[in-house]
Amino acid sequence: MALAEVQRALATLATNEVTRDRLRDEPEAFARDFALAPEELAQVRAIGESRVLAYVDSLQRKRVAEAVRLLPLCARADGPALRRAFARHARRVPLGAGKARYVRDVLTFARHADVTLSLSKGSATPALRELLDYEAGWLRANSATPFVRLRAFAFPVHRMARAVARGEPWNGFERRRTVVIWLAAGGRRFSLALG
Amino acid sequence: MAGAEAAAAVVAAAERRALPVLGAGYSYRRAYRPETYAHRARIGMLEIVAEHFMYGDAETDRELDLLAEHFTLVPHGLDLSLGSADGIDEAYLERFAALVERVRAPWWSEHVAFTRAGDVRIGHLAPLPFTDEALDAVARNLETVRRRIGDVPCALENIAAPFVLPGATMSEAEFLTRLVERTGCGLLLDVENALANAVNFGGDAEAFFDALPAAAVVQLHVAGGEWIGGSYVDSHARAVSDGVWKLVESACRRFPVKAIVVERDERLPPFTDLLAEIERARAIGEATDRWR
Repeated sequence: MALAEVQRALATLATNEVTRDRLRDEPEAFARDFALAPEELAQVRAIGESRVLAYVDSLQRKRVAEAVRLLPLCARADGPALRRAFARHARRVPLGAGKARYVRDVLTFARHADVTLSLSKGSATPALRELLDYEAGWLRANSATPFVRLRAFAFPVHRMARAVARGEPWNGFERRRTVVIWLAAGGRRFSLALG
Repeated sequence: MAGAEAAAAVVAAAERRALPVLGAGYSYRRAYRPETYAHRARIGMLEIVAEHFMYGDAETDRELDLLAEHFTLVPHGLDLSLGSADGIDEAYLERFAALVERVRAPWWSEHVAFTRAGDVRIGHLAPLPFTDEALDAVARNLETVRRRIGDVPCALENIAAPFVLPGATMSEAEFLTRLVERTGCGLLLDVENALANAVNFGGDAEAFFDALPAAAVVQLHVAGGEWIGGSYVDSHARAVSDGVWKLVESACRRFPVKAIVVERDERLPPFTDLLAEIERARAIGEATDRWR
């Protein structure tokens, strides 16, 4: 077995849906793409599509788990909604490479204009969306020094965050325009909420 | 074994025997930070996921240094990709080595797996074929890592295979045995992974234990898994099952375990639940004379 070629084929199968389709529909072309000998192609095909797809699912679950770790307030506020929404994002947007890729993954998720948080009955979508943006703001502040950012919110998001952290009701705050300023310098991070 | 390899194996065995006994601990999660300090008398050591601290800013570094003041820390890598035929990512290695040095780790750990091939980063562990070529790759990469990290010992972990690559010329246990003989590495036996592989692909976890180089197993991982889509998955999202605890007892009777780490990554329970699992691991180690 040419280990390098087989590993490249497996890594791409795990992370690229088009490649998976190519193996299924045009296996000889797939073999040419990755310079696989006939016996190596046979070994890759012998893994079975269901096992490969189960592995792909496990990669998505890991991304969701990382998102939950990086967004503890949102996870505490409405973990199931966060997981569902992030799983949809993970299916559509590939994970990048390099340093802090999970942080970038979460920030990409938070930036999507069409992020919909499918919630169970009684949850507050707009408030959760703002909590997500607030937490993403902290992730951005943690990622760069020096850092200054200002964002307006429709809810008193800093009070919502405090309520979540204390295990208190968080989604009953009335709308109140709030501006949050994040500052990072000299290894310290601060936020100031006005409103 | 060739003469030089045999001599190195003797040295490695002596180094493993000299490893400190760390007892039972858990894979540190920031969500449990206050409870971890509050209960530090009941936690023998902490495993830290290297990626959580390798790219740290000043605040993360302060957190790391404070942890290192109060606990023995064992860095656990996820992305060194020791099984990559393409070799080691030097930039990642530099950060990993700096972390090992910063916390003065008694040993570090990683996986018998690959996570990267060429420019493609999988983002998770992928299995190796149990072949001579794969063994050469791991041994070569481990040598590269050791040239940078120096003589801090390492323990390599068996993974829960998402699939099995055909073409193996040896069993997993034989692969690990030959890896230990060739490189002198220690083994981190993940009990849940061994169970998952037996459940999903046939075989028996105890038979797997039988075939391992006993003197090389220096650490255990313990976690809870679950059935997802017809496969038993090492999800680290559930309490440890009685079946796994029985395997932990079996492993502690057989192997010179220096540390047992409870892993819980998702659906984090109250810390008291995790503490109870750490205590159960500690009690097993005590009952089997592992903490002497």
